Amino acid sequence: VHHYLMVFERVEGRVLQLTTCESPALAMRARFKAERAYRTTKNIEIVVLGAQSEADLRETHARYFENAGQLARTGVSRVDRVAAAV
Amino acid sequence: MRQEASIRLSFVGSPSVRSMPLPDGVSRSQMDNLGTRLVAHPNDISDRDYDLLERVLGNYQHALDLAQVRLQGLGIRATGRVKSTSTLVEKLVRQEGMKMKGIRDIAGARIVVDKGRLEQDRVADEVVAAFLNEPRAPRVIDRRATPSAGYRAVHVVVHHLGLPIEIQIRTLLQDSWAQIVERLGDIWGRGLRYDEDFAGSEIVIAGDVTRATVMHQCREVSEAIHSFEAREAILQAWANGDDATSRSDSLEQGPWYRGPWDAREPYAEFLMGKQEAHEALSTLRQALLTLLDSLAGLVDRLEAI
Repeated sequence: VHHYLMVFERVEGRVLQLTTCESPALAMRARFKAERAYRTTKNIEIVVLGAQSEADLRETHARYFENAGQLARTGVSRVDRVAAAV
Repeated sequence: MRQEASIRLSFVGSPSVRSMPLPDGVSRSQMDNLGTRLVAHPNDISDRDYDLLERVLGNYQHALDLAQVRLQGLGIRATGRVKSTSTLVEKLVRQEGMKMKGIRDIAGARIVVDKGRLEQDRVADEVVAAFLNEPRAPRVIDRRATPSAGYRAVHVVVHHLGLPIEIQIRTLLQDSWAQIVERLGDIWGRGLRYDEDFAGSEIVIAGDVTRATVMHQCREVSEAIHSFEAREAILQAWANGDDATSRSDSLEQGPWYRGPWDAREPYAEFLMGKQEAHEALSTLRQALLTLLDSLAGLVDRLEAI
């Protein structure tokens, strides 16, 4: 499992930081360092995500990387992916 | 008629397990007192409390990592996260009186299955089996026929190192829906995920379209996904050579009962021929696509503002 520190600006939907950390402990340390740095800034989400790859992360947490319209269109393509399997 | 519902698989755990300190020695009362201080001063967290929170959450991170490795060994790809401080505090505020140690999703993992509900069922069974030998048995929460504000998924709360880990298992379409609503929640406030009359729901985003209009459309899409997936599962079971009628009976004897796929029209397909059932699915597919296209159009207007 790889650990990624994500710093995300929620309203504008911008990834401010996406860093791979060398260990879970270092990831947690980096998270809290970032939390202290952004403690007075609104609408910032700081989280450590653990995934096998960044591609997995982008699949399971697409809202960090796509706007709502793009997410809806991904949904459209997924409908056909599911329907095609029957 | 039987309803899909949250299922408590087994015992809830002995009080001694619940009151045990965290693996690194932080006591549960220290943790709860920390939660109380976070709620009292959410915008003024002291350095000391940040240090304690880091220790507390480090325990959850460790349990989560081990759980993910166990899932990985089964070929299940999950993305894990420990709750952010802001969402942790929001939850403590929203659910007044809740103790921090009582929050079951401080550690969570998400699995998006590649297909529909049959695959979701299969993965949920595997997750349950993987954690059955823990002192506290897994608990399955099936939010498909009984969604939470439109959100549909199967959640399995497992325990490892004495800590709960909530594993979300979503189909592709349930995940798309959730991602859209979570993204809107980023912009309009997370309250929309819990309340139809969320703060600011009346705000106009373009023309006569309000935030409430968009959320109403989201609920419609959620219903359409549910209907589509319920029928897709039955046709998929047929394609697999599975007699869906006897399968639904046998499910009641399985490790957790999940009920009929669609509580409103459970077995309409069994009265149809297969051709007719495929045509019904095609109609549902088209209806879902129309709703999703319409939703995409609405939120595009939002992004353009």
